[in-house]
Amino acid sequence: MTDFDDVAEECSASGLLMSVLAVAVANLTALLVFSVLTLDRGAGGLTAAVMSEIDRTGVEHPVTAVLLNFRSYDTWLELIVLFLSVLGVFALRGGRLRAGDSLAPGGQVLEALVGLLVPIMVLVGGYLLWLGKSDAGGAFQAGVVLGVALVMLWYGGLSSVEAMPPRILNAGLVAGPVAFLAAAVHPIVSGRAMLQFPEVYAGTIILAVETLATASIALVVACLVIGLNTASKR
Amino acid sequence: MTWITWTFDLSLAIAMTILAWRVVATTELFRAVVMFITFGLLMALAWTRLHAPDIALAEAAIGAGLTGVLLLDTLGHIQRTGRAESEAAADD
Repeated sequence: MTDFDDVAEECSASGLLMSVLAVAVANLTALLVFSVLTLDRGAGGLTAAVMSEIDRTGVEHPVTAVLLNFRSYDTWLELIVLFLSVLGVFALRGGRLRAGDSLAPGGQVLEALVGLLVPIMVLVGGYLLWLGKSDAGGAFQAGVVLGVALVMLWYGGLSSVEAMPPRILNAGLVAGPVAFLAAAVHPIVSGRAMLQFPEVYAGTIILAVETLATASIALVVACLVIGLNTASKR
Repeated sequence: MTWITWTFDLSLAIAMTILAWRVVATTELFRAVVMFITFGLLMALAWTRLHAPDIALAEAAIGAGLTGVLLLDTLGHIQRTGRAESEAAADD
């Protein structure tokens, strides 16, 4: 068999695979469209169930109540996934973060922009964290804003996560998952179910967990971007 | 006011469909990444229109912002080294 036959066979095999995939994707799309069209719009999902119990959750916003109280287990696992992603970057690219060079050395625009935006981002991040109690906001949004502020500092050639002592950086990265662990174990010790916060302290526990989670998420975001970038310029 | 929101929603839906198609269909990687970021921002607008501000915030911050940065970074890495990481690893 010549090379040409090999190539031709490979092409027809991938052509067959493509048509099988196309049929599968078309079926899936049709199924999705069908299920969207047949959704019961009047039912409103679990809104009623959430709203009837929201007084016992310690927060006023239904989304935060679901994420940090009713289904806090999911949020905990999400934080662990984020932590694992940083572990992956550190494992593949080396854990030592390089100091950032300014994107525009001596450039006054970048310098002024970083100086102007970073304080505002810190303020917005803190506000979003606090807002989670009563409105759209919370740890993830706040953490990403603060993380991007750290990335901006790095791109501006200023000290960022790479300047932090490794122990403090590592402690910050695990702070969120560990805070959740504490919030999960404490109820078990005092005879309740895992992650079942006592009603009186629920608001305080959620705020504390969210604050530490915000720190972790911010550091994860910054380490992901800076860690990948450090390796790519080696 | 109704027709304004209708027009807005309709143009949003059309723009997103076209953008989504262009993101996967374009052969130029940089253009695909930029259009993906734009798509993320429009997606955030769509979530706002669906009265889901929580998801809109997360989409704007993570979907458009963070993913965009990571994609641009990867793109820069590929262009600098002239090849993808997996090929580089295979050569070693």
